[in-house]
Amino acid sequence: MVNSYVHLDIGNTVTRAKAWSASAQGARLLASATIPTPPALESVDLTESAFLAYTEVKAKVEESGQRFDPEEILVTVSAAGEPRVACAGVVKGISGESAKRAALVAGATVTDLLAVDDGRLEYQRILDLRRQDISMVVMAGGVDEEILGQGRHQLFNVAKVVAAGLPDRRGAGTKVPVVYAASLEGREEVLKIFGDSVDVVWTDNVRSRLEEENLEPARDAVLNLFSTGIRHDPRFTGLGRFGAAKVLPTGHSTGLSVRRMAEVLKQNVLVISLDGDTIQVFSQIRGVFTRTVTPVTRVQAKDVTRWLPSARLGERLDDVLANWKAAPGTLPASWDDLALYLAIQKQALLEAVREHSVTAIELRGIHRQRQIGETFQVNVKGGDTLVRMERIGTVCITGFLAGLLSPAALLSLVPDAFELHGVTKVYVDREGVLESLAAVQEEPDLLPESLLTPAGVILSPGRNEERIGTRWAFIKKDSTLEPLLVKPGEICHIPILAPHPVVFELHPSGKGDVGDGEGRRFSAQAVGFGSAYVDARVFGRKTDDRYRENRNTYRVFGVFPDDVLSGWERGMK
Amino acid sequence: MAVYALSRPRVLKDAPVRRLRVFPSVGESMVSPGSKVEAGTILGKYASRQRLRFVRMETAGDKIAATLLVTEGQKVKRGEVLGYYSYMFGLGYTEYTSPCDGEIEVISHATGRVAIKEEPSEMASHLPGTVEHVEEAVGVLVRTRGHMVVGAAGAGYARLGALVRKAGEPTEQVSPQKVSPQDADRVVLAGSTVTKELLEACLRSRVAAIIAGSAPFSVVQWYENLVQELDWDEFLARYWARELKKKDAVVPRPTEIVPALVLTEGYGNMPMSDEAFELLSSFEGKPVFVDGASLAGVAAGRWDAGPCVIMPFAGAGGEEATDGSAGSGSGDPAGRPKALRELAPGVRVRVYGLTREPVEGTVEGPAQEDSALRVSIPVNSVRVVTKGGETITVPAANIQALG
Repeated sequence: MVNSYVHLDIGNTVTRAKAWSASAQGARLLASATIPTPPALESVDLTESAFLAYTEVKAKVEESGQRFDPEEILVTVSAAGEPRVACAGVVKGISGESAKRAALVAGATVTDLLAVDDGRLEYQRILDLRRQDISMVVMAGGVDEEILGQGRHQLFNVAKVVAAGLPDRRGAGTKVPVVYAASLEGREEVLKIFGDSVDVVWTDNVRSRLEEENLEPARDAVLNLFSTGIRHDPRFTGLGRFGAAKVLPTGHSTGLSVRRMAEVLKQNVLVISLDGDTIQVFSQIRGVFTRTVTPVTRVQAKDVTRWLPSARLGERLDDVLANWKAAPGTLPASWDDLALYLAIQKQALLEAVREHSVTAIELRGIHRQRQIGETFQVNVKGGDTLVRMERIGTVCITGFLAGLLSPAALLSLVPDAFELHGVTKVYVDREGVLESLAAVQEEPDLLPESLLTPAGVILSPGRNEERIGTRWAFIKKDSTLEPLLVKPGEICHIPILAPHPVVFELHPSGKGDVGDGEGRRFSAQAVGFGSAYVDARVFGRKTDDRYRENRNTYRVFGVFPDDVLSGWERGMK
Repeated sequence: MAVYALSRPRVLKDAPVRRLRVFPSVGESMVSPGSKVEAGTILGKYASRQRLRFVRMETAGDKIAATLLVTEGQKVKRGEVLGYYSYMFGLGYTEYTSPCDGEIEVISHATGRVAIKEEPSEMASHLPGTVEHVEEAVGVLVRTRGHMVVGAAGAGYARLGALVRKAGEPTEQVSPQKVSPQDADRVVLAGSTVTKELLEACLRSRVAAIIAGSAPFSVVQWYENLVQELDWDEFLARYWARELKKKDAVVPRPTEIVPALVLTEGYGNMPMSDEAFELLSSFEGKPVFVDGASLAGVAAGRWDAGPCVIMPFAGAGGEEATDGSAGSGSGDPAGRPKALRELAPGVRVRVYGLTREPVEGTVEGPAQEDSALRVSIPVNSVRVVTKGGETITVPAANIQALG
């Protein structure tokens, strides 16, 4: 049985329509169309661009002579229509983070995190909350029982701040709802504090016990509020023309695909969505799904300089960065601009991954039994990051820029931003498959080889400080093991001529760890890749000429033509 | 060539305009939706940035040694004597004056500090029109009709003044010597790039606003800090010392000390676009509204609060359009997708970003599927025949359909 679907994604920069056919053999992309999204003003119907994209994609499919009437239409939204959520918790690192994670996994953008230890005075929290354009508040704090026996709980102080600072929903004049995912015992008192001024959606506590985190009820509440609220938003009133289309935040839709992919691969997966003005990072590591959103505007020029291939480009960096922050939809059109653009993206990606590492953690606040080996370690009471690159074998790049920049340019961002470790397969989602597929199909067999573009395999000793030699990395083709070229301090390109599966093997020294423990050999299979790279640089090492090193990296990945690179080397314009 | 995946027209002519007038800090509106406002109408009041100002008096032990002339709760005016201290048998004499209008909040005898709560400042509309919506604590949305130049960057608060042209053409860089005290309360149209020296000259001459093509990012950053930190006393001390002697000097509102700055093209060294320069030049001598949008951060993500220059029509307060089709304040949002739909062969178009000024031409047809920028970035493009007869391939996002 063949089914046809259309996925419309209304993004901040562009609106994309994709027509899919799904059969027992899997899903197939029939056609896609892209239209710029108009600015998200109150008076603008943002579904207008979606309708135009839908018309265009329908016409493209029907060019072959067959009639195309999709059975289902999915609309995902990130253009000012995604849920903008302020989170509130008692302790920032415990309930505050849980509330934030619940909002993020629902595909929301978190605008603020209020907590008693957030370093602000009470009136400042109220003012900050009032000034935000938010669509809901997610509130957490306290376990379910025995919080009232210890005097007045801080939860009520947080509730007072929320009640006093809750703004009107912009334009509509309606109340901003609060998703209460906090202590069960505190509900009665909180309801008294809120009074009639707040619409409350009661859900299960995200931390009913300190040792557990249950995000699903709060996530579902956020999604329900989003689904009902979006149809009343004047900018999305035109959704009716798509019938009873399913509407989801784009971040949630992509998250569903990421989870599914990790399940199918039975591996930890990291997915980066380069959306132009923001970078979303999704991970499913050890069964824990995490999503973070990092604005690219956070990038500072002084941090970007180290990624430039020429000192001369640094003279314009301040101005280019500031212009680009003001108009993130502007694309580079010259090689100089592309070098600056990639340097900005690399730094932004580095910061996004760092932020993700801080958010994707073991639960804080839990009482954990120390292992014997941890006797002399300090940070073992929770809060340790789950993002250890030796655990991650698959990295995917998706989003607006994944369809625009060349796979080589995208791949060149990865080694520096991620500080890879072991064998990492990098895929590029050029068609935006991830954001639509999981929502189109209930249970897609999401094997990256079949749907994504394999960009390259990167082999790296990571921060392990192991000085690797020539017999560190091997490739197994037709059951023969061949050593790969390793140049200490450099990246080497290894072309893989055969498109059939190959196996990479790493042979670390006695102290080296490449994923399976100290001194243990590690092997991984890769299908469909045309290139592998052995990154033998030592992270954090100070270099004599970082510009030369960046030029070499770009040369290896083939991002820039040789004459452009040699021009930079000679200091030419 | 810059490619705008999200292109917005830089110049709007005869368009309905919505503008959010943002309170510099938490404010209280004094107007209601539907009311007509003129340029001088007070939209609301806001607490000053500093809220409390302190004067420190001489202490001896746990007491103030100076003679106090005020009490807690008393209203005071700027320059009013709060107390004096005479020492060395009258040979030494110190007078303590109030730095602002306000109310004595606290007198601390132990530390000698007198805290004065500043009077709330007023925020004028500067823009004739109709109040469309009042956002509690944030600002007032004013609707009007006129021409508009959308700024790529800016600094400073909203001002209104008669436009004076200092540059003969958009590529000209204006020297500081061209600005004089006669330009006080006027809007200076500078051509290409503004320098720190020019901005300081405008500051000294009490210019209302500056419109230019571009400025280096470091200069705009310095200017933005000045906007946030420079108060009247500091201004007098650093830039206008002569005025100190004037007893009748009128203290301006905190938002009117530093001139507003709007850059039409962005950061760096770029001349103003011909279209913007011509439109602005045609308004020489007439009042224009300039907002550098230093407060855009307060209304983050608001398209109607960014840097811009608005040339309101005379009597716009009563005749602004009520059609919601393009009521943006920052572009013709509905125009882009419609334009793309209509990019059929034969359609007349205007191409942005190709050269310094927009180029007009006619669509010949869609470009090849694999059309790409020089750096291998694929974009939806069309082939356009320009007025000069040249056939070029242009990203569709850089095109605006005409008529």
